[in-house]
Amino acid sequence: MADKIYWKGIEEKEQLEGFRQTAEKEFNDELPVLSSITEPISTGKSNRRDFLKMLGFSVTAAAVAASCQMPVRKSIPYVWRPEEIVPGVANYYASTVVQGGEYLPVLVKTREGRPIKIEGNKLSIINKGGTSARAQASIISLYDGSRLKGPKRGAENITWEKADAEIGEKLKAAAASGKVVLFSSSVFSPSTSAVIDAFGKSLGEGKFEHLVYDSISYSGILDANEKTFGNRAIPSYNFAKAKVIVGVGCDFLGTWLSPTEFASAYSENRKVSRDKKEMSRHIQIESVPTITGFKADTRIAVKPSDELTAVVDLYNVIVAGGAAKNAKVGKAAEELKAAGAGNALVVTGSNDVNVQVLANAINNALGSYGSTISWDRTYNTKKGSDKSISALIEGLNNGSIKGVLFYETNPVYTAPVKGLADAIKKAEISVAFNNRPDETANACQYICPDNHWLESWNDVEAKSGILNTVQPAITKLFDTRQFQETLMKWSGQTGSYYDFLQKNWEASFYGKQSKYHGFWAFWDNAIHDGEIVLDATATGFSYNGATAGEAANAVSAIAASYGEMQVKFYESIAIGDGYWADNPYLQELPDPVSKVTWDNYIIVNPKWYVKNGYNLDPDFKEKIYAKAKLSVNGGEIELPVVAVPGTPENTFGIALGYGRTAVPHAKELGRGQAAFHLLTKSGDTFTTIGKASIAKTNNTELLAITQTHFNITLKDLGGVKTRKIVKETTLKEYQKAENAGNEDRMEIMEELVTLYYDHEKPGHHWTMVIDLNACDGCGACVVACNIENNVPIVGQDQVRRSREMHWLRIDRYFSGEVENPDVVFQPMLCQHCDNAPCENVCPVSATNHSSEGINQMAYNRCIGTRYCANNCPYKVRRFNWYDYQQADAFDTGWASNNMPLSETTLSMHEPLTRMVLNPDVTVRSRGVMEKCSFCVQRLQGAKLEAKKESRTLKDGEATTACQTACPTNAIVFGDRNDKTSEVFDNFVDKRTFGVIEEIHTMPNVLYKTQVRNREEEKKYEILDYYHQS
Amino acid sequence: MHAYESEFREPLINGLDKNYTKITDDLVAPTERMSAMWLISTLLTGAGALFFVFCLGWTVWFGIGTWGLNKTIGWAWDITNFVWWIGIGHAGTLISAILLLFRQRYRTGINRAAEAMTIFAVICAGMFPVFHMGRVWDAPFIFPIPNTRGPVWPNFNSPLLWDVFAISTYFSVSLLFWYSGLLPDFATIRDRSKGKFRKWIYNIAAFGWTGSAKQWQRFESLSLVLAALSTPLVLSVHTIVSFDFATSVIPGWHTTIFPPYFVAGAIFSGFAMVETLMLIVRKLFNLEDYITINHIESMNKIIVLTGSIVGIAYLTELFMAWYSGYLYEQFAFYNRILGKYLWAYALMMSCNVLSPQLYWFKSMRRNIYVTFILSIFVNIGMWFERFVIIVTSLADDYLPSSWAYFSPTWVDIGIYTGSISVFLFLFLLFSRFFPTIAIAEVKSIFRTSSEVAKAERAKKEGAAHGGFMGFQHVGPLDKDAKN
Amino acid sequence: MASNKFIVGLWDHEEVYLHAVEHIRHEGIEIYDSLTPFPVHGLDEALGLKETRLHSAGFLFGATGTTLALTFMSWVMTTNYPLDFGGKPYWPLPSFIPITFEMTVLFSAWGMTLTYLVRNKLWPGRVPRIFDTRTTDDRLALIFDAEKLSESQISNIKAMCKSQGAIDVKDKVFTENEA
Repeated sequence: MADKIYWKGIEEKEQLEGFRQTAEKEFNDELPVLSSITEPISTGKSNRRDFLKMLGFSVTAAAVAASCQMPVRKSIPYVWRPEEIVPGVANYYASTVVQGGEYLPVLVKTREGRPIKIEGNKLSIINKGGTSARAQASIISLYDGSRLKGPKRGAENITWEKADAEIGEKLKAAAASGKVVLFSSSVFSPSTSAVIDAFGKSLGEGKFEHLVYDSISYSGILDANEKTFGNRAIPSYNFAKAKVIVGVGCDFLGTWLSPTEFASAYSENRKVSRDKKEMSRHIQIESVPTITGFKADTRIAVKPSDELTAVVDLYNVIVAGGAAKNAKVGKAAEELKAAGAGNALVVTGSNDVNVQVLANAINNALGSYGSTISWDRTYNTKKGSDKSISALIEGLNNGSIKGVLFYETNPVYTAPVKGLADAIKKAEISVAFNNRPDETANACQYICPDNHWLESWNDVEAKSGILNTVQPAITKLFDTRQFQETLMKWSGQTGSYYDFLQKNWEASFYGKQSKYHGFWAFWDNAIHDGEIVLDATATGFSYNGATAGEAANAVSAIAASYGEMQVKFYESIAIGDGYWADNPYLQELPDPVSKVTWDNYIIVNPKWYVKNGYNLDPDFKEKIYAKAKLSVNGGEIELPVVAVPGTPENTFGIALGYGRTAVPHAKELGRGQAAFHLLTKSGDTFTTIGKASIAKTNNTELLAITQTHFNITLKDLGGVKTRKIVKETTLKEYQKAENAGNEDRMEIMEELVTLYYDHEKPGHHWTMVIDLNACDGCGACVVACNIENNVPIVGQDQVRRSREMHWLRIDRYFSGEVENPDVVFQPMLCQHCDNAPCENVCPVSATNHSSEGINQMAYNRCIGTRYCANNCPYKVRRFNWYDYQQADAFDTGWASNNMPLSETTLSMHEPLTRMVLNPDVTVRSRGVMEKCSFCVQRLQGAKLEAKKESRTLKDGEATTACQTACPTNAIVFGDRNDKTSEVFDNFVDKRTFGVIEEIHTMPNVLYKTQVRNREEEKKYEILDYYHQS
Repeated sequence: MHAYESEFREPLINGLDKNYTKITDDLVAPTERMSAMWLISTLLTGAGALFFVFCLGWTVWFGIGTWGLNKTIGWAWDITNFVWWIGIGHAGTLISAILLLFRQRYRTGINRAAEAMTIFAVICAGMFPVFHMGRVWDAPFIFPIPNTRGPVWPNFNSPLLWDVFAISTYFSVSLLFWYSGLLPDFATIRDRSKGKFRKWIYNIAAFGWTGSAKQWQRFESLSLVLAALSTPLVLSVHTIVSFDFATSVIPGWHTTIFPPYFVAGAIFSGFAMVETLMLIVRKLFNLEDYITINHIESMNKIIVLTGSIVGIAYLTELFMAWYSGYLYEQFAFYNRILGKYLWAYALMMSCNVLSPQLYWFKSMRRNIYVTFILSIFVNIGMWFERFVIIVTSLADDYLPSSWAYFSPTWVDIGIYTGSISVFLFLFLLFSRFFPTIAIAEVKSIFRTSSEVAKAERAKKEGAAHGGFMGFQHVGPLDKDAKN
Repeated sequence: MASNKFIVGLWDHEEVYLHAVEHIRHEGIEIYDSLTPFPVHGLDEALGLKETRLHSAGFLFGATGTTLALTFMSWVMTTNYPLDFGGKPYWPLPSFIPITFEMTVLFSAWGMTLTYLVRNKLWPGRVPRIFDTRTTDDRLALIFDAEKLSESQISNIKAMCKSQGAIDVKDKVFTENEA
């Protein structure tokens, strides 16, 4: 019934046509009513019946449109497929994480041109394939929607042409009237340095200065080395070689200098096995607990100031031949001496020059130099000086510095001194290259956003003579420009930075190696391997410890000045100096020591905590924490108070890097309080120790703590019994009997009788063995698992409600006395029990057992009764309480965006952020149970590869994300049926045990006992101190 | 030819003015006029029922996250309410079935209402397993429906699936039992009713019952067999519900005494709820002559019995935990009594075990006010029993690293209180439009257990043996023969 | 229905009523039907009704349920889609017990009730012949088919009822259009 269409004017016709088209797009065009829609009312043609049809139709249409409809997901095929890309097949590119002071040679996994995962670069001699939580999480910062999308003048967006023109002008002007300063963290890219030099020259002699400042300062050790070795650098430390290690307030496994490298080296000599029943002895002297201290065989808990005096003690005993004030430290010193020349290593994290001078003296006396410490390769990652920050402020204030550029640094937030923001305003020209909004960028006139490292070409020389390459894994997402190119433009250089890079390599490095002949071979291999090792140039720096004597007195004097109550500021493993604060994956990573997420807090001694009435919520019902006001050097900070065993009394620890104000979603990502402004100078360097006073306030805070300290022994009934969740022993015991600490396993296994036959595993039988001795709880595996398996980030409030989604968590168990406990870190993931309690109870067969021993989930089948999670003795199953990642089969529209979720979680509903999702892993919808799958997608991938080459799977080909991420190779994974495999060897090892095996779950994830290298054996009994008060 | 009944038994139908006509009049009366009291309470509970629907909608729309649950405690109020309601739903069928088999005449006064209560309680209970699902729209997956996914069938190992079958069977069988008993009484109302519409409605409801000898014969056979089937069914339902916990590995759940312990608890709370309702009904519709103190006392006897069984079960659990020598088991119960849920355990103990002990005293058993208050106490206590079992066991199980605490949200509370309104709302409707007391059955015991009958016999015997009976009833002889 | 002409005798005391029934049958008078507001014990013997076979039907239905449940579950778990649940065998008989039991009860109960309704000609909305509205209230009635009876027989029956303590005896004639 398409009638003729009448119209009064041409506009009306157009409008009608338009309406018809839209209408026909919207609805099925067979519908007869449409013609009547298009009839102009004026003609009076559209009659009552049509009207009714219309009414009826529109109502139904509205109803249909409003009701649950499948969200439209567009997928566009390649028009011209890049030859190296096969859809569905991942490509790996060697590159290097250089971001926020983090440095790590890695492989970047890309799918259809999208980087989606970071894997360690096994070819690297530095970290040997290990990764860190920060490196793993750095991938998400690429897809961070809050990144700067282009150059800005103040708040306004401008074009690069405009920026170049204006800034170029102003730089000239500034250079004419004064000095231009590039203020940056340590730059350890040789080519970048070359670019910077060229830029400096282009401004004219003496018109340019490059000030280097590291927010987490290593000024002390650098200056000390300059004093005692005439070389302002940090030598390499060989923790693998040292037989006796003494760390003094030095978290070398967590944050100090190059933790991933040190962790992998350290663990080499910490693992024991049938063939190697020896391990290094590690004594840690520290105040605020760190994972390094918790891994130590003997941990000497002292006040922050006594970390300094401890070094003096060591010096007195080892060098000056005196006596030690602290007997325990004296004993440590004796052990160092007993270790024999070249077998000992002393490291201290203090930023006090004199302390480091003493450390050098000690190491020198122990003959460590040339053996456990080497000057052949020095670190370029830390070259900053604490002087530079004051230099900058003075310069800006007295007008000698007219222009300032900020690169890879955020001094307005991290500088302990105030007034920088105002000083910057005084400059004629101020530019920040940061690619994400931060305090410093906001203070500058211009922001010229740098590329993300995944979008950049670059080179890295973290340790002299070891070159790593950075290559882009994706084209620029936004209108950003690489810092180096910007500088080249401003200094009038032509050509791209890539060409510059090549030329620079040809000129400076090609000659220094003998392996490759012809530059292109050299270059291509460098890009392919991601690492080139130049022949080491032996540089003998000789020690002259003349000043050690005064240093000792100076240190004792300073130590005495700190008084009774002392605060120690430390770097958080997750978010470092605050650069990583806007990374939700790191914010939600529980701190290995305190297990708190999303916040900083004051760490205190548990007894002190109870004594001073801080335990408002002793059963951790609502996780309410009392706040306290801590004043130090005139500054004040109010934070919730958390008790951590191992903290000495009257010692307070506060993490730096929280309370960022300029981060996006500051309400969540800027949680906590900034603490940098509380650091003070002692000598020329900033110290992390302070004289403090503390007062309880009436405020409280809800902390998202994932594990709380409960008593898990049972004194009251049947004597003290302990849950056999973790097992440990001492080296001596182990040398006597391989099953030391694990004696009960035999009888447990004998008691496990069953009426049923075993389901045979004809093909593979996947098994994981985790060495508790090697695990240092750093959390790299947790983040790796999150990224690999699309595990949602749920935000502070949900974590506080015990709803974190992590498939892999790291359990932390204390034993011994509160003052100085032993700690075991235990990665806990789905145990893939062969007799899985969860499988029996699922009413819809959504979870069942594969013939390869995997406890598998069929997400589509799951109806979310949560029965499986209830019946899981390990509590490793995770339920999607909300639509965390917008994966509902139907679009709940308003609801899905109005769920009581944090902004950071909801950002996973944005297309850009979702680019990080792994296409091989289902994104779980609301109401579905999920859990560790043994990275089944990776196993299938490996099996497919083998199949294509029509061969059986080789050991080590199928890996899980957590396993590859681990810097200490604590996780061994493989096919138990393959009797030659490494995992089988571990599976039959006498140290191996399963958690609560006596309930006959037959887990496929097993653990190896923790072995401590020390005399006294502590009775293993888990803490109960909340009831001691 | 009548089963002779001892004179020392009190009558189950009081009042010397009773006869068949009177009984019919009294028992049908509630359906023939409406009290303001009834209207108000119906409207109130109706509003509550609407809020219940709202809360469920809220849950489905946003997700289970709107409840207070967490990664460690996957069930809390939802399943607590489920078990609680199912427990309450046990009295009805128990009274009609088991007491029928035991020929307990006092059942006739209360069985109809009790069965109705069962039906409504099971309706409420059924809501929770459905709406506690994360993806309620996929609920049909639990039924063995042929499908294109393999086909994938449900897991017949899962106690939760057993529940599905147990609850649905229990519900439909109770429904049959209840309705087949209603037919004759609907016929009574039909034949009395004046209005055309009213007649029409009740005619439909009565299925055309006439009360011919053959119908009665089959009727008795049916109710007898249904009773014989329902008796094990009643016991099986709560046994299977208890399997949800007993077959698990969680300390405090994994307990072999659960089945009898749960059944006893169910009867316990069921009888308590029947009392709460009957005490209201007999007042509201003045049926004091038919629901007598005698009825109440008999029920109180069962309450003190089952209450004590439950108490023994609690103590047995504790002993077994200690005796097992198994750390996790011991800790579970240690923690249950002295842990962070101490208050819940204390409430449970005092309401379930201590308070019913009052019923050892006859005066207490026969005191309406005491009975009413205790009946409510018992149900509070039984709710906390389930809460204690479910939540404290989950909260602190094997690995201390994942221990947690549960606190409810407004949605949790709304759904629970809402379900109570739904229950009362349905019951009020029932009491208004259905005969709350089984008319035919009451008539059938009139000759044996009514005050009138006893008076007659007393008179006869008195005449025969010179009144050896301790008392003489001065009552009209064979009243109903006269009119 | 064949006949439309009936004699209705009404009693109000079941003992008297039972005597009457026995006596009347003894006299060899055929009783068309008996209507009572509640089950009268011993009435079916008095009327010489056959024992009902309803419970046997119930048993057969139950047996059907049992076999159906067991065979179906076994087929699913072993043949159609065997899965490894928590290391349990593919044919976990103990796990089948609860569902088998429930299905038995379900089938038996429903089957029996439906048979009961069919045999008693009961269904929603059925309009029965009402001989006297008080037969569901307080009267016990005996119905005699008067279609083929002679006047004398009729009066004889009436007299008999009276003598047996009936408080009222009346004729009931249904016109064809009445159901």
